[in-house]
Amino acid sequence: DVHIQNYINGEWAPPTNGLFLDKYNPATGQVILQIPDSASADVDNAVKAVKAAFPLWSKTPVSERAAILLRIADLIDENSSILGTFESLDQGKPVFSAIHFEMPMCAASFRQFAKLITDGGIKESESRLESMITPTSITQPKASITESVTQHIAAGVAGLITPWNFPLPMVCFKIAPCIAAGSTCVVKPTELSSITSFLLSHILHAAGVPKGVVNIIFGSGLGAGEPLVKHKDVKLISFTGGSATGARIGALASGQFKRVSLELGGKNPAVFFDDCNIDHAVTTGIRGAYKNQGEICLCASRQYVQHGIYEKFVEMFRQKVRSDIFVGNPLDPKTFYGPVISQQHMDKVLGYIRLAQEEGATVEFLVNPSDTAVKGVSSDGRLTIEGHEGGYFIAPTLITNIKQSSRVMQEEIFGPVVCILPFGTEEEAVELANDTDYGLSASVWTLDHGKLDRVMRQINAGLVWGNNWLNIDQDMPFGGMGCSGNCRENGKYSLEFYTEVKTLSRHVFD
Amino acid sequence: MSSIISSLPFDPTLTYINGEWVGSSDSQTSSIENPATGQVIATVSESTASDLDAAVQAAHKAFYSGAWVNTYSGAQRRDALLALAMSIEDNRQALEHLESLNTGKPIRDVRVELDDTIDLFRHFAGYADKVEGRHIAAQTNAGLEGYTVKVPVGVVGFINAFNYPLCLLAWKVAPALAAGCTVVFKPGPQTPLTTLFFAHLLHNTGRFPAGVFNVVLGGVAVGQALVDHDLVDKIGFTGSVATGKHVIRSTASTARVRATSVELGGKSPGVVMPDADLQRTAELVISGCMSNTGMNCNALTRLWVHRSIYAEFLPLLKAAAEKLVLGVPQSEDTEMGPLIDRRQMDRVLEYIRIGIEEDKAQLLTGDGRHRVGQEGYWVRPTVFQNVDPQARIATEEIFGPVLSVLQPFDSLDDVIEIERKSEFGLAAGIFTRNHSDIARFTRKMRCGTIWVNNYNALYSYLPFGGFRNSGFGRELGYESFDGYLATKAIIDDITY
Repeated sequence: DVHIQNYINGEWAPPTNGLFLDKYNPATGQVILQIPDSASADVDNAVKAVKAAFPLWSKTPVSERAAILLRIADLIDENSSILGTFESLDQGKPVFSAIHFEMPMCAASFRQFAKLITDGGIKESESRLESMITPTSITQPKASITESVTQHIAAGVAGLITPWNFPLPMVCFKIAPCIAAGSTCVVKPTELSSITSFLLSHILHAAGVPKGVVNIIFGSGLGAGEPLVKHKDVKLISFTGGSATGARIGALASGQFKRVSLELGGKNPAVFFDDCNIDHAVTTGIRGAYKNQGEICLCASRQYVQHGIYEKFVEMFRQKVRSDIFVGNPLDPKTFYGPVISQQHMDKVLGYIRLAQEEGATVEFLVNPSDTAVKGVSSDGRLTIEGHEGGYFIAPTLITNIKQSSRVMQEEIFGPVVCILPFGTEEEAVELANDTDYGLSASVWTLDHGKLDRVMRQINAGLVWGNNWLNIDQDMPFGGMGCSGNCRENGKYSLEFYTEVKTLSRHVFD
Repeated sequence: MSSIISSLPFDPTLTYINGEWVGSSDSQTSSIENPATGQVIATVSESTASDLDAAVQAAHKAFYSGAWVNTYSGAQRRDALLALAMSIEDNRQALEHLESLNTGKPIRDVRVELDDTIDLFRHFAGYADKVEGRHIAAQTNAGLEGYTVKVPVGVVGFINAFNYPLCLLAWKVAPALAAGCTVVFKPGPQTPLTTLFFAHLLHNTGRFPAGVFNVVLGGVAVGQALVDHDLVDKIGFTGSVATGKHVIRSTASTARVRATSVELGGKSPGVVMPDADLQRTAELVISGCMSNTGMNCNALTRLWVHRSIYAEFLPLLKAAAEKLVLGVPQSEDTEMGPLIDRRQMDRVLEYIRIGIEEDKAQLLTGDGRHRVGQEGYWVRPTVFQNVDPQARIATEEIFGPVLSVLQPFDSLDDVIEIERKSEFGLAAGIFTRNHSDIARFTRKMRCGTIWVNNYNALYSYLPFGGFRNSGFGRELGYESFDGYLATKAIIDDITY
């Protein structure tokens, strides 16, 4: 029984306007709780507290900040079962994955940034000894030595706006570097999955995060997110979400010279050459298509298979999905993926499926015949799951014989829908892979050393995988090109966003 | 040919110490030969112990007076080195002819070496003004501000080998000078001429204070004096394992301990996998072995060929070796020159004899124990086949145009295990398109350079050096520059 409240200045409180939003369980379509519908007044209170907390926090020695981060990590680990279960209930993702992969990722993020600011010899700034000629008078120039050093300081108050596909990890990936760098933040988590962010506020409190350093307010994008973005005292905005919202945030923020980091959508290609390891390729192609209901910005939603293995690949794909993939109750350990997040989102995904059907593409729903929980499949792919008749379930959808120019191939669907097309040459593969407005990630499959390297280097995406997918090294830069975003996160890249650089340059001796 | 010597813009009977051209203090001289003909082409001085001492004193004074480090900013050292690079470029033809005359190298090869030499000075000039330390802010309330400062190591003594006289000089001198060190340089006794020309060009730029760069000439005696001198801070050595070990011991045997960096040779393996492009690989392997007449520490001298392609590959290797054109160095058609001197030729011929008579190895191509002609120190490219991996010709460094193709192999992983235990660890090459084989080979081999589907390609920005008896320390790349710097940490209580 969870009552979500805003966490401002170390205290929990309802929204000042007393208004709440309904939140639906995606597995049943039933309302399970209400979340605050915060507005400008709450944002103002939150920003005021965060701004007041900044001077002390930014001067707190790194060892103390690191100790707090490590305590947060420990508390997340201790509570991973509860957190993971609520995440699954709230978001629809399978509970096993939430508890055993996603909660540990949250803890790891805090540990990574604790280490980055202390051990391992990370340089906080550089020092250079440089000899320069500085004339002391016009007629008598004298050589002198000048020492220049950089000073890295916390950048200030940040507004963090997070998405619903990995609710807690996304919040943690932003809070951790922000407070590690000595900055402070107001977090506006997604209204579609707020429970774990609320639980996190209790963890932060228990870990000793000083009041006001992290404030969490709940509400909608327009109601709470926009005032946060526009607030004159918020200097940095970090946003992960859809490209359309990202565009709006970017436009609002740039007029006030705010530093903005946008991690947006993707329409990520996977390219399979004839000489790939086909078993590994098909297995990963399936994961890439349907993991987390297809609700990952990195999902391989368009897959290109070279002519020589195309028919075999697609047939293997079909058979493996039908035999291995179960769709249903997220709390059932057998479930590979659960419902999509909301009615509105489901309607959007089904809309793309209908569009593909109208365009004459081949649309198949690869339902597992031994999945007894599936009671029916509608003509556009909605599944009726026993005991969860109101839930937002969509069948594993495979689309072939579709045009590259179709909206289904060009736009982000963010659901369990994959398009597979054949290709001929290496050049064609590169062209097809680069042929959207996005550029977040891609994967290339071949055992030929030279071809692998050549193709990976020619694809215009921020993260390119070779013979694997979704292996993320948390110290390597992560981010997109084109409509996928404008920044890089992870490791020192994230820390840099929350840090301001100064140069100090002083005379040493003549 | 003697016109090349007589038209030199400097006097080769002198050497360059403390900004001046001086003869040997006891008028000792030595003769320099053209190995293509065996004829003497020049006479140079031989430095005495007292000459060596004068050179080191000059370098020491130039360093500690601050003439090169404090008075010259990084940017000015950079500009000096860029001017030097330009001067080398302006005089490259004369340098090419001189190097070819002194070493017998084909003119085409020397041209590439001049390209590299010029590039090296330009590349390392770029480091001169980028010497940075780190500032690490206090981590606790009681902590103090701390920062590091990088300073040049001091006086560096170099003992160079004869196989790439000018190019290896650039490898050593460019980063050392860029870092702010001062230098005493001893070229290989057979090959001093381009070093002296270099000193002349350096002096004429007018941008290097006296004592920053000095040349001493001679063999073992001068080398020993340099290595023993307590005012030298670091020794950089390229040469044999035996001499290298002696150098290292010497740097610990006098009053002061001195740093060393040594590059000692190798017996570098190549591996040809079943999916290799056999024709292209055959050519790469022959070039990898026979380049510079095999007088190359990273030469590919022992070759593993997979059983399934052995019979098909060997004739291609034979043809590629026999195609090589031996000839007078000045000819544009010449691909391979002579060995550097009689001693080296005799050594190579002796190893060929050992291969035939003791190791009982089978010749694929080569004249056996015969030199080519009576003038000069020529030996034909020689390839043995089906060689036992433990054979002397397969395990000892020959430093000549001799390749041992080992008995056929079946498993790459077995080859890797054998090579990881080799006495040497300088370089290796693999020829295949299989990504997984390449990944295992590059990750598991314990040697300084690994070439994938090519061989001998080196760049100013990628480090080069050995594991095990191939030496330690790195030349080229940032790592070499860092080797000429020392780190200081300064800890500061700013609340005081």
